[in-house]
Amino acid sequence: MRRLYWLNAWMILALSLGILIYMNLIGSVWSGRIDLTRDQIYTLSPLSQKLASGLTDRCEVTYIVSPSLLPRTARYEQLIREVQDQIEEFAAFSDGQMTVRVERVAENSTALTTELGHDLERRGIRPITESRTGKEAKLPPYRFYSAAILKYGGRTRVIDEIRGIEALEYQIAGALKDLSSFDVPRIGLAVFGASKEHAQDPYRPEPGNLDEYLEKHFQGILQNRYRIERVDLLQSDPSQWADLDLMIVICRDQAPRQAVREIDQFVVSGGNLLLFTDVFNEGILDASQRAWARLSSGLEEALDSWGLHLENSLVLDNHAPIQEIPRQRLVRDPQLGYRRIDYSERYSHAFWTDSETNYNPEIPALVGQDRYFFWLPRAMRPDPETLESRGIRYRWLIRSSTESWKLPLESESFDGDQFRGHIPDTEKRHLSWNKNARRYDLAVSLRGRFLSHFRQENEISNQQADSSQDTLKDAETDASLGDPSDPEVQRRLGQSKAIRVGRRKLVQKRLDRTWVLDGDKEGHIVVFGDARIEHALRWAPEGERLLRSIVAWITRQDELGSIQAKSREAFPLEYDPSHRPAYQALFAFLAPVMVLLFALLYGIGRLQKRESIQTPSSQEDTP
Amino acid sequence: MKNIWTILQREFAGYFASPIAYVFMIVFLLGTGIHFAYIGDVFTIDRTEMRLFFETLPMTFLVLVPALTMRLWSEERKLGTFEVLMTLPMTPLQITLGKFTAAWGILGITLLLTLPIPIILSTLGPLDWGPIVGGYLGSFLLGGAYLSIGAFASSISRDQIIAFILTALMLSFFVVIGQNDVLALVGDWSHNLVTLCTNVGFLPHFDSIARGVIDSRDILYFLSITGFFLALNRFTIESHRYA
Repeated sequence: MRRLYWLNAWMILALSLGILIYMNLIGSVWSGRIDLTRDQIYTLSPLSQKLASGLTDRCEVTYIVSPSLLPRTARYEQLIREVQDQIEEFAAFSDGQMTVRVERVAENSTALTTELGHDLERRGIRPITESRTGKEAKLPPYRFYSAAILKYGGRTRVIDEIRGIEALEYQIAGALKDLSSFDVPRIGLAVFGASKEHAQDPYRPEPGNLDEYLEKHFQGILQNRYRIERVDLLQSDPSQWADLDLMIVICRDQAPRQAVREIDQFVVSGGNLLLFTDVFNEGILDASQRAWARLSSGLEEALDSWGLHLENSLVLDNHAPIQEIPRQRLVRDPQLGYRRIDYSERYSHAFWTDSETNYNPEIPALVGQDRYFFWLPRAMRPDPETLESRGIRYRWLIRSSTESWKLPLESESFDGDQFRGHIPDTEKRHLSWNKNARRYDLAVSLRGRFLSHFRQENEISNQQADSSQDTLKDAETDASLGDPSDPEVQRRLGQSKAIRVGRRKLVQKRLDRTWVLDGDKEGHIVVFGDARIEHALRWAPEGERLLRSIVAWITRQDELGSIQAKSREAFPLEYDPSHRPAYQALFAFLAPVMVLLFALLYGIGRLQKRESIQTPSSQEDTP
Repeated sequence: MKNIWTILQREFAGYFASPIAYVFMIVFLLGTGIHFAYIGDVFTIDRTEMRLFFETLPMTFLVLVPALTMRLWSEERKLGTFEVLMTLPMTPLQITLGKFTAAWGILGITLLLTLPIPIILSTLGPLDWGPIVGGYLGSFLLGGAYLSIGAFASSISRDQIIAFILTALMLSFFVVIGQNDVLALVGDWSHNLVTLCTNVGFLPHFDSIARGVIDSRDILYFLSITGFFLALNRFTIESHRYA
């Protein structure tokens, strides 16, 4: 009987265990989840879920962090856990393909410079530097590690800076996208007028041709993930840049009208454009006028027609929220009377962005960015009417700070019709800060179907193309080469003909071209109100990271655009520090004291009840 | 159901008639409260959230739940009331469920007594109640799983101390295999083993709920563990009846 019972029991147990395991397996296939957090911070976007569930090979994610070196601030208190949670959320959708590992490194600051530091650097991880502000200004900055390495399909991607989870989903999704894709985006680079500027300024540190310098610099920053190619908007075949994933244009001088027209066509046809416009009042000495001539990108009108207005005379200043600097000022000359003098170009303005306030927190590519150095930034403002009429989405990316500094001139003097101002010595420079400046957009994004700025011209060109005939004729220059029977002349004739044919084809192609009047595809324009990008890159290495992030954001817009930056889960405590002990006591002792009181009252009540039961019975016993 | 309710009432009265429920509650509330306010120090973390509180619960339960469950069956067998219980017109499953729900009720009341913490916290800043609701739900489910294991351990031992140690060891196993360091260690050997440990360990499931994400897999996991050990408990009890 007993043996039969145990046999029966073990069978039922084995069966129930099997059913439970089966139920869990079924449950893991058909599962549901509810994110109770206020901003749904743990819910991956459908795109991220799809990326994680689409992993077909083992994906190893290693989060490398130095816990003991993390800044002792509320922001970093829970970094490790939050990052781990977010990565594990990806792992939950990966059907077991993704494994997460936390590697704790560098328990002291010397490890940053030792073999461990070098080893991490070889793996593409550099320490993050977090400056200390306020009263701790004199203290050295925090330096710590917080990065992730993703390995998938024999390839590796590094997320080199993780300061929070706000943009982490975007970063991981981007890395997974990169790892599972073998397409290398093509980027075209067009630079205008940098060489001219370089020739004018003997103190510029860049070697040689500034155009080439910029091109090489950009290649150095972006070549790991993109194919960079120089774009000649005037000479090359338009089909060369028609399929670019991104065109970067740096306008340091008046861009030729034909080039602007090509840029216009690129955008109207649905291209992605990253534009660094000319700087505010950046001058070039005009020998003919003996004055500082103002530069212009030549793109203002086109941008205006797309709904973005570049402010010409606005700079960020410390004394006024915004300072309008006139190009000319009426001054009294003792001999010549009142004269108009140009002087505004000599003012020097610049400011650094800071990660907390200058970047749009809704755009994941910008979250956690460090400082970017704007030199004479140009403010921009949207034209709501144009944007609304075309359904173009306007977003600010970087805006001016409530703080800015100004480097004022020490003295102003006039020599004839020349204005002279002196920048003070370094020690005497007074960098005054303004904490109440109005905020202006300095980098913006426009996305939508744009209308061509050159509609009329394009229409005429299209009509001409329809009725075009081959009007090109070979120039009768062959006879000038010499005797046609001479083999050398024949070779040169052949070359000459090949060149002629090629050139004619190109011209014909341009003539036959159909110009787009109204965009039927969504284009994306990102405008930086600053063209001295090399300043930003040279003076602040963080600028490189911003450039990489912006380029990645633009080229991935179609794929990762649905991933938004997350807000943080909790807020700082608001309390009077003098009340802290009281709060601590409440947290720790309120509930136990309540239970104790209840126990005492309940116990006393029971005792009284017991006594009241015992008392009558004792009275009954009494004779 | 009526029989389960009868056992539940009897057990409940037993808990409150002796100091055991009060001691359990006070020690639990003091431990978690002091950790939250002083040791972990919510004011240093400076965030309006209770993860600091919930993250200590698996370890706190590891010590206190065995104390609550060690007497569940051992005492009955030691005092000789087990035989009397078995003669009642109830099935072993009903008795098991009655005892378990009574202990789970005590745990639930204890958790409810910690509600002043989020209420006070909400006066110090905007509080996201989602993770707190998740945290309490996760704690309740985790407590249920702990209790079922404790009840089983108590049923196989006549001695309360042995039941306590056995429960603590079994719970430690389920807690440890889900820890990240252990998973990292295991990951060097086998990827499948990591998946197994993640699925079997308590912590990955509890952490997931405690951060405010209610996943059906986690709930199913806790209910499965609880159900399985209650089933084991039931067979052990029945085997004692035949013994």
